[in-house]
Amino acid sequence: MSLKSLLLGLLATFAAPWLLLIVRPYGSLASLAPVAYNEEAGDETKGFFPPTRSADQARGQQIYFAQGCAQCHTQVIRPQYVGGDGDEFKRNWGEAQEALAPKRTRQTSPYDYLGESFAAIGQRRNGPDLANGGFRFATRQQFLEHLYAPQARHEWSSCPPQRHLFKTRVIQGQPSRMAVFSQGKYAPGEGLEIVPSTEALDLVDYLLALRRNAPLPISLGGEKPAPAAPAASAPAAPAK
Amino acid sequence: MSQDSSPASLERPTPEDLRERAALDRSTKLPVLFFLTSGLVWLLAACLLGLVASIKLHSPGFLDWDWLNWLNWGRLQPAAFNALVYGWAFQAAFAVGLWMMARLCRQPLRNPVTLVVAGHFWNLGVTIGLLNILAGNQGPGELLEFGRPAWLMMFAAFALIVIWQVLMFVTRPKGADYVTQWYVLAASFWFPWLFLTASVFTSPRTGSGLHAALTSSWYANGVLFLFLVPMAVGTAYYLIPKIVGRPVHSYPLAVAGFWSLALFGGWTGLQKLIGGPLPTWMPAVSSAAQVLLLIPVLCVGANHFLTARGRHELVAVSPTLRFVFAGAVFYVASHVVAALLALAPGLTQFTAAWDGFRFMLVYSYFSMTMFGAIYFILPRLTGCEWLSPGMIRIHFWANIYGGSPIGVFLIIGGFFQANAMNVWSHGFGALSDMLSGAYVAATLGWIFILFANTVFFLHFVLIALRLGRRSERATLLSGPAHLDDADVMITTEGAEA
Ligand code: HEC
Repeated sequence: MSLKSLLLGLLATFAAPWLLLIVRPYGSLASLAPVAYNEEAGDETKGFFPPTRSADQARGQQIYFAQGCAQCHTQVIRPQYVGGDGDEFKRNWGEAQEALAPKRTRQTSPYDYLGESFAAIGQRRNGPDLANGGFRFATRQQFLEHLYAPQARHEWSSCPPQRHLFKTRVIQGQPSRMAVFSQGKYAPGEGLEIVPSTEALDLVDYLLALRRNAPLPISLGGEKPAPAAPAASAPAAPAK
Repeated sequence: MSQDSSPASLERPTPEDLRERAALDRSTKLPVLFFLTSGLVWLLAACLLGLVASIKLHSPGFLDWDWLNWLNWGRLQPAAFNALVYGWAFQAAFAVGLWMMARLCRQPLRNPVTLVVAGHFWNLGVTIGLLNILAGNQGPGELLEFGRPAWLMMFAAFALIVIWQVLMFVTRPKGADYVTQWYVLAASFWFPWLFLTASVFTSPRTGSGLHAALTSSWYANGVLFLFLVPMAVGTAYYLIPKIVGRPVHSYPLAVAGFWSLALFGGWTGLQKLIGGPLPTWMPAVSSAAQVLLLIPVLCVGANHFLTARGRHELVAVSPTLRFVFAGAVFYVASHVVAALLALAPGLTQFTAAWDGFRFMLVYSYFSMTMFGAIYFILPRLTGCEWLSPGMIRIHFWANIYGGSPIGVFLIIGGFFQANAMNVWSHGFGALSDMLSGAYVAATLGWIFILFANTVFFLHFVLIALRLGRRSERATLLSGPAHLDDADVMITTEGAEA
């Protein structure tokens, strides 16, 4: 085979998938922009979908990637035909179920990743999916404590402690309101406190904001919210 | 099919041929030894990192001291896998590809020093990338974790390394054509394209994080199936006829195997995003292409099997053939697993099965084939033979007993993991209990392959320092040595006609 026929063959066979799978979708994906909810169409929510992210959250996501969280945590809710995600994300995955009200969740949409420089779909689910990770803990403090010592909550947890994002220092005057583990097994000792760095705070801001509960606008195929007294009439508009 | 209908020719080397070959080998010796040595050092590093990463999965408290925070799993895992791929596998591919191309194109390497310089830059890039990961600064995206500064350097080095192989091919004498060359050239064509695409489209400035993620998953699959696989297939095409002393069984089958890989390979990669926020046709096309990649496997596998037909007993004798044969088994196995992963995403997606598959392809298939090639090449470069069949046997069996379970247990564990995750009430504690068996098995596997490769490295260093056996006869695994190590000439002359 001559170099020319080899190159031509390779070019023809490789350009096709490259153009169709990579280059062509770029245009439509890069032009996605937030969509306004439309009350006339039946949306109950006001404003834009998806809610915008703050600069802190964007920095937090950088840290999320840089520390390798995406190696173990995904952020994607798959449709039923792939896994059981649709149902399990109504609740807290793998937790005592009763105490927690079901959350309004839905399959992930491309719009959910708007504003991210790299979609945090993630590589593995060694840990629970975090698409709705913001609901997992009630307070910022609990997130910080999870970052500092995941094993405090679950001894078996393989979630790596991020103690390097915290500083242990001597308490000066009033103890910091941000300090974690002022007592118990992980407490730092008399007169000391463990305080989060700005990186830890940014990361937690990001984690807290992981709530994909904003309903999909009807113009994007979202379902009409069920009326208070369910009138079992017309089926929901087919998702398009 | 009789030998006559196959256009491949096979002749005993004349004294003139032997002299020419010695000159070719002398020209490639320096860079080939450089790439192999540094590649093997990275291999040992990867085994060590992989071992610690594996232990941490069943014993999270292992080595969890404050000053060792850079060894936390989120960093360790990508560090280990990137070291394995870019540190070891790529450099082994450079070395073996370069040597085979010089031999097949009958062109001496005119700039060995340029290659060694480029090789230093490659290694520097890998080092910077790894430190970047361990320092808590990894980039997003599978096999892109090194981060941009490292890539730039590595890409420049890559270009400088493969350009010589292309030049050799361009200046080859008439008739010096063989299947292996297509694979080496194709790999040198695909990788830069994949890499440039990934660099451009995963840049934070593109404005679509979703597109960046999609490109990165296409890239990661491409590195496996369009760089490592073709390099290993090309190597097997070179070694098998050499050792069994027969030409490649069928030229049409070789052509079909090559072009079917080219045809389907570029479409794979997005199956990892099934159920994700992409138009459903995209991952579906990738899944289909991944299944269709069984066609080249069938062509190549059949061709190799038929080439060696009747001489399979040589697997017991020739170290090279034994490693290449083991690699061939995992060549088929890893492609079958890849097809299963694509077909049953609900049972595999985001689980350990993916890690098991990657390991099987990169280690049990690709690396075993490269070990086979090193057993063949090194004595020809240094003029002395391997010292000890015992050490070769240890290297082989420890790799089989160590490498296979890592892939197999992680894949099986992954199926269970997915199953459990599909039940929302299944706690993660129970899940980690359930998986710990598979993870412990993998840890044992890592210990075995770390041992195997340490033995191999020592053996390699001894031969590279020319402390091997001075003998006309190759070191074989079992006597009486009825392997006639003729190093026959292989070409596919006249194949064009
Ligand atoms: C080795 C894989 C691994 C890595 C890397 C990892 N995690 Fe985890 N993570 C887990 C596991 C396993 C759990 C479940 C056990 C638990 O709750 O601690 C978990 C749980 C969590 C939870 C609680 C979720 C819930 O539903 O209870 C949060 C939040 C979390 N991780 C955040 C992070 C962040 C932030 C990072 C990066 C700094 C990270 N994880 C890195 C494995 C990992």
